[in-house]
Amino acid sequence: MTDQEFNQLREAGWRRSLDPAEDARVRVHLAASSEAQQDWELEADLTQVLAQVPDAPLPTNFTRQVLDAVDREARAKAARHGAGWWAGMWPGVRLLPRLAGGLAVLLALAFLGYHQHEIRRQDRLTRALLHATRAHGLGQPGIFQDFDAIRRLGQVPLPADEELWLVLSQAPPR
Amino acid sequence: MAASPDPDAERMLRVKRGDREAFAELVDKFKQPVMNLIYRTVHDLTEAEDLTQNVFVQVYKSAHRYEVSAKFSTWLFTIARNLCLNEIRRRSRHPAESLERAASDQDALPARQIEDSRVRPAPEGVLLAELEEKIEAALSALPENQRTAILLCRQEAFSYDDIARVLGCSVSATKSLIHRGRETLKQRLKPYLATGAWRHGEG
Repeated sequence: MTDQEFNQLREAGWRRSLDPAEDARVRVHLAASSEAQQDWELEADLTQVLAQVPDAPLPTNFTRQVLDAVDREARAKAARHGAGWWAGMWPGVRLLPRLAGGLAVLLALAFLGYHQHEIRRQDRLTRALLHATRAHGLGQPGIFQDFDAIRRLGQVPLPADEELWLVLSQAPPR
Repeated sequence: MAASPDPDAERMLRVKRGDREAFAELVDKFKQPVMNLIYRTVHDLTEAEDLTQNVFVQVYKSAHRYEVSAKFSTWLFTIARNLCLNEIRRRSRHPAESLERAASDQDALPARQIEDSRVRPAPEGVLLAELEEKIEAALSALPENQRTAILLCRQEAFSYDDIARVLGCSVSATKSLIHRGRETLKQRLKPYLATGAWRHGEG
């Protein structure tokens, strides 16, 4: 027997017990070495022991459980498909609440920014006015308390000069 | 010569056409070998049962994509092995969770063993039970690919080519895995094999 034939029988022996003829051929092949014979015995014993390894316990209704699990999966899939059809039309629909929240925050920030900007602008204006008042010796800023009203006078349409003259000429002499 | 048709592939094609009876037949035929492989990979009865169920649910869900390119059993055990490897990876990420489950499984174990009808008289029964324990321990100590190769090798319907397909390696690499695994088992079990106790369980 060649080594290749021996290896083939050994590999066959990993899967099944060799028949007596095969076993006899192997034993002849290994006759020269008692160590190899002992190893062969161990190989044969191991194959038989592995064949006897007991099955892991399974419930008797396992097949029923699998079929139930398959049904549950099918129902869950159908439910997912049914509930999500509209969301599937536009995936952004599910993001609407988040988008609205984000937009509200942005608007609030923009308003606060504008408000701060206005406060700072008015503050700058006031400082500039104070500075100008002091620089030109215009006295206390209190003199400007009617500034706005006086400034707006120019925006009101005034009577024509002739009308003014008429009014003044009709006034009784002092 | 035309290849002999695989009856399980035929059944799977019926499942693809919506035949639940064919699916039940496949589950009945393969539940035990799949459970055996998974249990000896994850070492947790509850988890093994859940994973075995998942394997068949996956098979059913994938039925519409099924094409007869290899034996059905090869495809099935590839799914089973991939789920096991995912579970092992998940455990490595969440070790505390798997320890809890292992503890609860230990609690559940005696109740399940009561169902075992193979009651043997002492002392042979004791010796055999001890040997079984040692075999389980030796198997679980093997690297995953060696253990899977050896467990699939036990199944007559599986050729070395089928095992190689499940493991995703060449036939020669598969034989090498089996050889190395068996050498380790022989070393670990030598004292127990020498007693011949296992011979009482034959037949």
